[in-house]
Amino acid sequence: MSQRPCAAVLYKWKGRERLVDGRPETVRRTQEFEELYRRYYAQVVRHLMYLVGERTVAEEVVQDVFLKLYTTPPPREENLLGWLYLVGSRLALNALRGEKRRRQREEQWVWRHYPEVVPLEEAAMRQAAVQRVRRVLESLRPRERLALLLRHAGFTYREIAEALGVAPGSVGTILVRAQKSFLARYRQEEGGTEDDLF
Amino acid sequence: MICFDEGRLLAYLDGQLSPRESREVGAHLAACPRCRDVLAGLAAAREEVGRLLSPYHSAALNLPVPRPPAWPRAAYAGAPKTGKGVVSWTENKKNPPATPKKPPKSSSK
Ligand SMILES: [Zn+2]
Repeated sequence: MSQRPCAAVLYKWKGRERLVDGRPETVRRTQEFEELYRRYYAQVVRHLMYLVGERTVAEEVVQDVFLKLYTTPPPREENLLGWLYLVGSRLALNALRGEKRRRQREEQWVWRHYPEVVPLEEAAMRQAAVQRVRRVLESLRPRERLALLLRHAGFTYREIAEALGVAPGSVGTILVRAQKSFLARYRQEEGGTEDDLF
Repeated sequence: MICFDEGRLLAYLDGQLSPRESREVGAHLAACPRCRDVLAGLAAAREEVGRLLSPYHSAALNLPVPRPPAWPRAAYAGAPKTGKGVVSWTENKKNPPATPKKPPKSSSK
């Protein structure tokens, strides 16, 4: 057993109740899972908030991330947080591609004209500069948005490729387009209405 | 002389090429003013995007996150009944608590 604080124990189970440390195995398994859930929840939510830009969506997606941890955990213990981030990024991409989100993007003008429709976020997220970036990101194609944000957060091209489900060789091309559209949209936002208050 | 596409040049800037590819691109750049121009444009855009994303990134990282809601126990029902992938990341405790803690009543939400 290694001395790392998060050493992994891989063991098989057959759906029968087996006693481990004097407790039914499912109880033990459930307790361990819930410990991880409590330990990593906040970090995963923040990562998802960063990617999708909205707390409500992030809190929905985080449940799916941990469900995946419960049903199909990674084979090795190495960097569990990295695994959670990667699974979260993939699920975030799905959420951004979802029908509901597409409708929201199309109806974005409503947000501009009726700012009170926007659910209130924390003060930091309400800063004008941050809000502008958020709107620009919202207008990007989900794949480009995620590629930009993941790179900015220090993910490698290989990890980005895995999150997006594309070949590692195409990440550079996606990022080139993403940079261009981000800056083009940002200039539009800048030139937009000055009393665009949030 | 064959030039590199923009995607490859950006990967070079981001330090994401293999050492060998990186040397190839570097050698080409030394000899090709056109690719140097393209690279400069990509570098400027990359820098600006990074500068704009930074406040957004730190805003997201500094968000207070409320305590996680009780894990929906109903989800366990959907878990596979058999399988190999049961993993424990918690340390192999020598003295686990004798009695498992009672899960909170599922009346919340
Ligand atoms: Zn060239």
